[in-house]
Amino acid sequence: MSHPASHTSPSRDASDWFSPILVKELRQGTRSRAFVWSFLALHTVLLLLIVAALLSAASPHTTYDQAFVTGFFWTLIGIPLLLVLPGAGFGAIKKELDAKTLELIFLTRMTTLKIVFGKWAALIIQGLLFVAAILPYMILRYFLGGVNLVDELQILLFLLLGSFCLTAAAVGLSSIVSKAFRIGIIIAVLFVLLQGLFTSMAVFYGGPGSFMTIGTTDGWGWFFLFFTVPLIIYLMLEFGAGRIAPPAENHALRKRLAGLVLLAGGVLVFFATGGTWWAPIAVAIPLLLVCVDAVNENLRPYGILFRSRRARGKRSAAPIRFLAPGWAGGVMFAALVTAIYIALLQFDPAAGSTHYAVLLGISGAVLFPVALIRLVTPHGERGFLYFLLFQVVMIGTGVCAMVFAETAYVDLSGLFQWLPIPLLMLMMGDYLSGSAESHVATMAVINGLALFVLLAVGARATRQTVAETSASPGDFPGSPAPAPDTP
Amino acid sequence: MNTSSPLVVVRDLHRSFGPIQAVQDLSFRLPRGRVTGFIGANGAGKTTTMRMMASLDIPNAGSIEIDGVNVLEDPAHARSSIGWMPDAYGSYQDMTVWEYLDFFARAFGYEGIERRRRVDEVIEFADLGALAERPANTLSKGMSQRLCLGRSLVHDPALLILDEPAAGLDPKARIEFKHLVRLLAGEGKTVFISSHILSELAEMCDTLLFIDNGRLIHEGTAESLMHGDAPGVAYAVETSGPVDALEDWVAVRPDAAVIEIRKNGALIRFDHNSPEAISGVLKEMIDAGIHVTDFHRERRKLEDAFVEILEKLKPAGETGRLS
Repeated sequence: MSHPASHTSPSRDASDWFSPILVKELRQGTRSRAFVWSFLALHTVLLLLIVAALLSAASPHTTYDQAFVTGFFWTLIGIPLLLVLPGAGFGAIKKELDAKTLELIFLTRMTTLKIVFGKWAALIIQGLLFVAAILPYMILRYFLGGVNLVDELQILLFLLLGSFCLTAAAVGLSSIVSKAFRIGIIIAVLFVLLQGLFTSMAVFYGGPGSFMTIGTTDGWGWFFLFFTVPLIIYLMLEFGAGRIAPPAENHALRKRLAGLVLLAGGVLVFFATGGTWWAPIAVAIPLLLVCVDAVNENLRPYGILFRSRRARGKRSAAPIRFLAPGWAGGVMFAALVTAIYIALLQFDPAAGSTHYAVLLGISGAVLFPVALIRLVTPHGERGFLYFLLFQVVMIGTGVCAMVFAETAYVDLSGLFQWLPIPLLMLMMGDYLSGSAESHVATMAVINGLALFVLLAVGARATRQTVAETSASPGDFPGSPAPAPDTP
Repeated sequence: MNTSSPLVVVRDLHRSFGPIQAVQDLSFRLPRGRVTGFIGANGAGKTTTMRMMASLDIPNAGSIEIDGVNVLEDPAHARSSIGWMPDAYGSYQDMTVWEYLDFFARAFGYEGIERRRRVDEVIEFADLGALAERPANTLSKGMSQRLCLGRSLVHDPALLILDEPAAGLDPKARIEFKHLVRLLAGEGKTVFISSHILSELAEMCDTLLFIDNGRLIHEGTAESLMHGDAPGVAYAVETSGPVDALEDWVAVRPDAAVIEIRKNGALIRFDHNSPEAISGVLKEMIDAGIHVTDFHRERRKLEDAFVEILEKLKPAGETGRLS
């Protein structure tokens, strides 16, 4: 029997050049009431706006408020791009899950990433249709005067890139069935990441305002932007694809490799710009997401993912285990990322103990809760939920620590400084007592203990998982031999 | 590929969900071009087995080969031979019947004229021509099932796995669906169809596999099941006269035995099987002065056969879950 046929016809339709999912989503999307009505509403409002602007410009008695019209114009464009499209993406995969149609598509020649990517691309094309529709108004505004077309196009580019990333994140998150859980994740991610980001920037780079130097770095800022945006979009879509994929698909490998490429870009810009930290800090946001995702993955009989490798007589080498799905491999990945950042600090002559404390604090905020969770439930499948709950408790503890530090007569901050997230929060609020060196030592101990526990429990749990699945032996030392086939 | 070899070979399949053993030591073969019924109570392991066959789940142990391709090692290749119809029909909004099938044809790699031809063929087979431009999510249950069957046929698979396809259909739609399944078998497709309604499968399947607690407990034709283990054939005889006379007549015959005495007659097993021998027996009965008012062959109900099989396996077990 031949391999799946390509069924290529000499007379291909134009639509055959596109992904089937994209064609399907565009057929459905452009027919939906939401699209039709928002498209019409946008045109109506823009038309009214331009007419009002024309009348104002023509009349000697009225003043044409350029700033107001510009603000209103960009708000009108921003709403569909930054709110409507991500909002539509928020339900993209969930709709398929609810309709029980995903498995039907899995059985075709579509991969999960193609499915998720097709959904994202369909939304983006709808967004581009909106943008194409507003271009005439943009040109009309240029002829009215007072508009720098290059600046306007640059704003449009940033809006589009922002929309692409947000929509990708929304599509990726839409694979989570529970709406409350999705919203919870967004809030948690925003809080933890922004808190970590601002602390890092304050310590490493002298405050968030310094981030604006991105455009003044001999083109490296633009390189970095166009390098990272596709990778971030890919990662966001992989989050969604990984969640809905059949067990035999290895998405952990792709996410972690993409994370490493992203980090490599950050490191490249770090060295190319003379040791400035904005690029490594910017990639830290998606990297932290990759690490959090990796350390919370459920253990899976991953040996089956490397069957073809075993069939060629090769045992799984250490890099394969490190990139294999499951929190055990994820911990190794997170530790590697932390190690690379620590190594980067060696190249910054201005780096001090505070820098190390922040870095180890962030690393500890990821590893410490996972160590506690996996010590109790190494095979549990609700690790991510417990992780989020733990982070909420830690944030609450941090807030209490800050309140104590602000109000109490006695200094209680020492009680909380061994917990990674409260430590970062106290550091951000400048409430820390003790020397920076002591915080580095505390965080190093916390990270070391967490890593030791996770590697010990992870090795044992992985062996058990492999042993339970005779289909996947041989990938970890000590795993059983395959059972002979019964005729 | 040798056409005399079975299309599907399932060996020592195991699947557990935590402490629950959903499928245990399950092995069977599906011959090409035949309709095989997969029967078991709710929770017996039918859907789990079918999902593993369709490459949607991975077993803890065992192997599945479809047309010589190992489903676990090369799922993408195996999928080209599999048409999967789950128990839940999935529809899309803002999409017509034709577009629905067109989407799946695209997803299977068909392009241009070939794709349109394939979609038209499926629409014709499933008799959906009049509904081609109707929104797919507004079809009746029966029509939706036809569309779902059509979707599973778009890539012309050798094997069709149908999980509870007739659930929720009205009698007319069921009859039409059975007809479609037999047509597919006539075209050489291998059909593996599950249900917990035995009578439904008996009429359309060549072979029946019974599963209970994840284990295969019986394999055979519907005919052999209804016939049972006992030799001979059973006939229900009704008489307008005394039943005692019928009993006495049977008692002196070495080729007959009373199975059960009934209100106006008896259920009698004859060693003969040929129509000539049976008509001879009936003539002898009438000649002996028994006023026969009804004489017909009585088959065992499949439900009874299934319950009997279960009771042989686990006398104390619960066996009344099938409908």
